[in-house]
Amino acid sequence: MRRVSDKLLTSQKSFVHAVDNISFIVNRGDILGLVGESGSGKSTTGRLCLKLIEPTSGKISFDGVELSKLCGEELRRFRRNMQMIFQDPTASLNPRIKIGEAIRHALSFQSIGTLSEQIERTQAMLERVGLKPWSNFYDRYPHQLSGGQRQRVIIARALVLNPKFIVADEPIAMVDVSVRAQILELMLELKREFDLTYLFITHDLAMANYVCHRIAIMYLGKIVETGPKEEVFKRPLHPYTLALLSSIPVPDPKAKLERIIPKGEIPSPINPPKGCRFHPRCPYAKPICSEREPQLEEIRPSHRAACFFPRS
Amino acid sequence: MPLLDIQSLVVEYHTLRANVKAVDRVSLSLEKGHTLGLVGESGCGKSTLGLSTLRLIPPPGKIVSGQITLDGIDIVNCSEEEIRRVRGKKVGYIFQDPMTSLNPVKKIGDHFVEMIRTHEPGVAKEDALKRAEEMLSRLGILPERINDFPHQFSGGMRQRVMIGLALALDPDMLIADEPTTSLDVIVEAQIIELLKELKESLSLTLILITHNIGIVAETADRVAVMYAGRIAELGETGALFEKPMHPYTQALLNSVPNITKKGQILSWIPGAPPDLAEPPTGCRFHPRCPYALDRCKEEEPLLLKHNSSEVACHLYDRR
Amino acid sequence: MNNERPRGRILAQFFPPLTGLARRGLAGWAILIGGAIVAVIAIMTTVSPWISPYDPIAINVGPLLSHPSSEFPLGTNHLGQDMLSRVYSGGAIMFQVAILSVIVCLAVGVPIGLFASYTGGYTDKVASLVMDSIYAFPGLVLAIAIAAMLGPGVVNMALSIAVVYVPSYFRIIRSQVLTIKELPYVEAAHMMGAKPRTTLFRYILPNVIPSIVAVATINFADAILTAAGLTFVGLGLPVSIPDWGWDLTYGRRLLPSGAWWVITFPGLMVVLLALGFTLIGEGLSELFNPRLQR
Repeated sequence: MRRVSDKLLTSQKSFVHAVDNISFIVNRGDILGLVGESGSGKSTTGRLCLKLIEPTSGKISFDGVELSKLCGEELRRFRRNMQMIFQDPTASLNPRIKIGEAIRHALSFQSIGTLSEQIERTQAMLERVGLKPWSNFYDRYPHQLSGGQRQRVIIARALVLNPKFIVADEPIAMVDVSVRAQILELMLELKREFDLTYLFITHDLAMANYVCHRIAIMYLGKIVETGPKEEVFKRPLHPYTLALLSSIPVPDPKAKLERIIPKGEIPSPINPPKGCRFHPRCPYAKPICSEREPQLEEIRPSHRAACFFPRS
Repeated sequence: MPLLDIQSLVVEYHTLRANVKAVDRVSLSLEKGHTLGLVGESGCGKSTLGLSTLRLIPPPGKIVSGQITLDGIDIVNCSEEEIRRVRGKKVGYIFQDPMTSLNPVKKIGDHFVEMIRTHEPGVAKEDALKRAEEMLSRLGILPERINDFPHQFSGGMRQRVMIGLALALDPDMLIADEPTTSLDVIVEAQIIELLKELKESLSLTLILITHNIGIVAETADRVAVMYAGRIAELGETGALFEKPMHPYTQALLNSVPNITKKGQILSWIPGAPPDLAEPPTGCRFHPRCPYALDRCKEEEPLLLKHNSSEVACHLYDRR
Repeated sequence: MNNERPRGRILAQFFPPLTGLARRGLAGWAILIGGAIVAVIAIMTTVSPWISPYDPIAINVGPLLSHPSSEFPLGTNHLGQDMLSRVYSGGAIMFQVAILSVIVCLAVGVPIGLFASYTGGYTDKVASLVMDSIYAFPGLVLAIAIAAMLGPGVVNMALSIAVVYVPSYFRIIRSQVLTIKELPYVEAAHMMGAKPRTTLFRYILPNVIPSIVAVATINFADAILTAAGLTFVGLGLPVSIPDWGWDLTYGRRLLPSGAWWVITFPGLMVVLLALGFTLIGEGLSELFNPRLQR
């Protein structure tokens, strides 16, 4: 069980409310999809969970351990429990280090096993993510692999430490369309085999629908809706979710699209609108929406929305 | 008479490593008022094809052979003068990244003025600005914003400005290269709706280059699927999505999520697109094709008519 | 293999890595040519004791200020010294000063640059301030000032040049480190639990080295020119050591009287040597940071 609350990220002069007072729980074995557009704070949230960024306030607990209490050597060693799968397969690999070594470094930094044990584990991991035979790949440099292969290396590197929790930040956004499902399938297989829990960060609702159990929709630093994926997709409550769903391109020319497109664009997170953050663009906004901020409330069983007039 | 006619176009990049055939004998045509969706993954040559219609291919690339006829003009062989008159005036081009395609030190109004006065030198600055204001309001931007700088616009707004610039001279054809790739989902939908509306009101001829099959399904009349520098399949949108013929098209459509389809199982294509410096023999897709025949390894399939579409695949070649 | 030029194929018999360079286009040729120039001059300087017809500092070996002739191919100067011998051996000092100054720069500039930019905060601010102040001085002027304080000698010349050049190393390293620090693969190292020292030395430094090498070669070129300059203004070395810089000094004074050969040949050598290093440096930085993508 992991819990995240409250966080304000500040820069020097103005406050960027990257993630504003959010609370959520990720249960063991879950795949939680954190969906949002740019400025929603989803990437920041992911990094907070891994203590790559410090929260301004609030508590993050991982399996009962409060992250803020960890530091130095203890923190370094705790990191083996949670890892990240990065978005950009090219920039996330050191171009001067062979990929086999890059993966082995994870074990080496955590002082796990002897050198030969580390190499063995790396070889096994390479094969496990589909880079068979390992001898073809261990000594290659990142630029010698395709984008999809590089993403597998990133997954291997994240998994070789046997973590319990993985934050996947847009893991397939920069992979070719025809290969995406393969990477997702790999992630699902590995989840079953290693008993993992995922926080799946994406802007691609369609992919989130395919892979996640639960979905949390973020807008401008706030969570506006959470629920089981079927619920959120079939019976969305928040107007923003409705807008997102209706904006997804459908690869079927015969599909009738009823678009509910809100006007305007996402405002800057430095000066978010008062009251409900979505109200200036919401087609159903009423006066109260600009005065008070709605809280996440359970409208249907385990299906929450932060809206005074949820669509149901 | 089609507005654009491309015959056996070959575009190569001469690099230190090897000659890369980015576009290999591509032929297609586009009628006035129609929208063509040019679809493919990274490295398939679709952007190069788009750039070649205006002879905008950056060195070390060059058009090696083939013909491009745009409204009667021979694009490949015409003079620098003539091609400059075509660019902007006959064909508007929307480049891939709106973030970097605008001059950060020039006001938006000045972008329009420069565009208009390059092609119509007699136009006074005030008139050009007036036209800019009209264009902006038509695109949903407040006309006063012609005095703003690019960094004051958000991503979606900048893309609208790009569309406005491309349309400023009332061109016959618009080429949009990945117009929504760097934009958020909702803004993407806004831009697509805008393009659809402009298509109607201006009777635009449009080439939409993208890897996003969804937006092509929505906007295009005909779709061309490219793979490794060649056209794999070319047909009317409805027919292509309903009954895709080329194995690559089939696989591609099966790998894209469709939220209206219940219980969809996504599939993928094993392997990776080929290195265009050393493409596979015969059909470029054969190493990854589930139906590959012996013939596919040796003989390159030609783009032939089949029903109302065109396919480059031996499975449909009864000869 | 069919595209290789014949020259390349001959070299290939002797030096496999050189063919790789030749195939890399303009940058590769720059490095090859620059390297060849430097190598030739270095060899010439090293074997000078054996090939010099006369002792370069011996005076009155021939008539004073005689034109280039069969006996003295490059002429003699106002002291009767053989210019050819002086040209052969005058580079020795240049090389020594240049190499020493680069070593000092690397030993001082690289650690400061790495540490200050990685740590950030006040350390970075203070270091940047100091370095920028030094950088603001015109190089030769500062070198002259320091050399004047320290006195003559190879070591002191090298030190004064090193002081002038350390800020350049610092700036390059700093800008590289700041960029690389933010890259995802460094974040990944952090994620895996790498100690800061490990991150700095195994992830950041290897990616900074190409730039360091490029600066070092330009440093060489500049050191040579500055060394010549320092000797030119009289701050370099005692007369008893053959040095192109001295020849430049006196050559300049002798020029109006028509003795063009005293300044020309050593001057040519200085320029050539600096050019050689510059070509290598430019070629290297082109290779490591190619401007053309494909």
